[in-house]
Amino acid sequence: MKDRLIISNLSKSFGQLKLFDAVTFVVDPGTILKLNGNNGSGKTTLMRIISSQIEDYGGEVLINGENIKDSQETVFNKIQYLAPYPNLYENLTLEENIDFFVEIFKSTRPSMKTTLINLFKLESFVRYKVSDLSDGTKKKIAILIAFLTRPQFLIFDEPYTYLDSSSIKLLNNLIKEHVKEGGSLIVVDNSNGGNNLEFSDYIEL
Amino acid sequence: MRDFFSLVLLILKKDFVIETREKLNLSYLIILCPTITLIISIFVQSQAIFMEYFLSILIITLLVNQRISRQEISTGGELILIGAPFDLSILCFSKIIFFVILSFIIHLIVFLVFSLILSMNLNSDLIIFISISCLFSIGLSAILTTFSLMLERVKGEGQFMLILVYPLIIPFLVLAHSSILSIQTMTSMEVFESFSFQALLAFDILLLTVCPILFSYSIRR
Repeated sequence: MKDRLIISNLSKSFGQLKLFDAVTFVVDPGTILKLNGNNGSGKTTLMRIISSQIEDYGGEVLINGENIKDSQETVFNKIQYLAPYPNLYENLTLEENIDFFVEIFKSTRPSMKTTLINLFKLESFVRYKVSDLSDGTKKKIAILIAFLTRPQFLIFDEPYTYLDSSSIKLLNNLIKEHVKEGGSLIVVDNSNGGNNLEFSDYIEL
Repeated sequence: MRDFFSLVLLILKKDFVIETREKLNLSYLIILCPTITLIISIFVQSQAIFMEYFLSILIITLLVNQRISRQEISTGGELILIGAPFDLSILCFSKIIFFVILSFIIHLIVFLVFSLILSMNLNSDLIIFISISCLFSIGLSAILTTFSLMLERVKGEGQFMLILVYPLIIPFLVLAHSSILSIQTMTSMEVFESFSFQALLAFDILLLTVCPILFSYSIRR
């Protein structure tokens, strides 16, 4: 867990609309960056570019000097993007979703599943279909999956939306633990749930 | 690269878990297939029973296909597995296989309806008929599944956009049509050796190769 993420001169346009231009920053191991910007400034697009979900852009994203366009499989094993809306299968149960994503992302610590389920107080919902659960519970499942997979770089887009205060506290503790172990985080947070985190840098779009 | 088939099986297993519990597609098919088949047999009133059969299959496939793709889209309108650590052609290939399996159920129901109600007689041509049916379904599934998966992401306009893809299946339909016509005039061996049958087979192989690659390339661009 010692890779550096370098974003160099990144630019993105949609037709005539220039979303952002010459965005440059570095994410070092064990750091948290906060991404700020108005609605429509391109925060989500920037995060999706970094996590290799969009390939049509200007500039470079490098992990340890290697361009992510040339090493997609490496990227997906090292970066995980948590979208504002949880990307889950609504017709699978909570447990089936977790098991499916653990296998898909080849989780390095599947034994943590029960511990995280208990920490997020999800044990009574494991056999419920995701479509029957509240938005907050869905968000917890998506966060739980991210921490089960736990690549070096976590990119969280509005992670605190829908969460109650105890879950926000738990999420912040998990983030701190992740950073302590050399992991890195880029976060967009308009709800200010992450106010007690120590940000190493702020990026303005 | 992780084992291609283990990932295909994992995604297929997920689809079957959903299907066996929810039976969403199955109950939809059980109602839709006989209804469309009966409508066509009553209103077309053609003597060419093969044509009625394939027309029923085509209409049902067009109606059912988007349901399969929609399952891969999250409530936020994004492909659920967009960040998965593998080539997305695997997802597309799995969905094509799943839809081909559903196509066999469609064929089975439509065949039963035709056999029971319209006394469809296929004894002498059964093998060649099944072969053409399979080739027809595989190709159709590949085109429609790939494009509907790609276009489901076009928020709010996915269904309209899919209609733009329909002309692409016309060359494929012409080949299937000409193969079906040849059943009545040629022996089984001659049908297998005919240009339209072999072109249909070649199209299937081509589509099964090209569609997943096209999907994977287009989705992250």
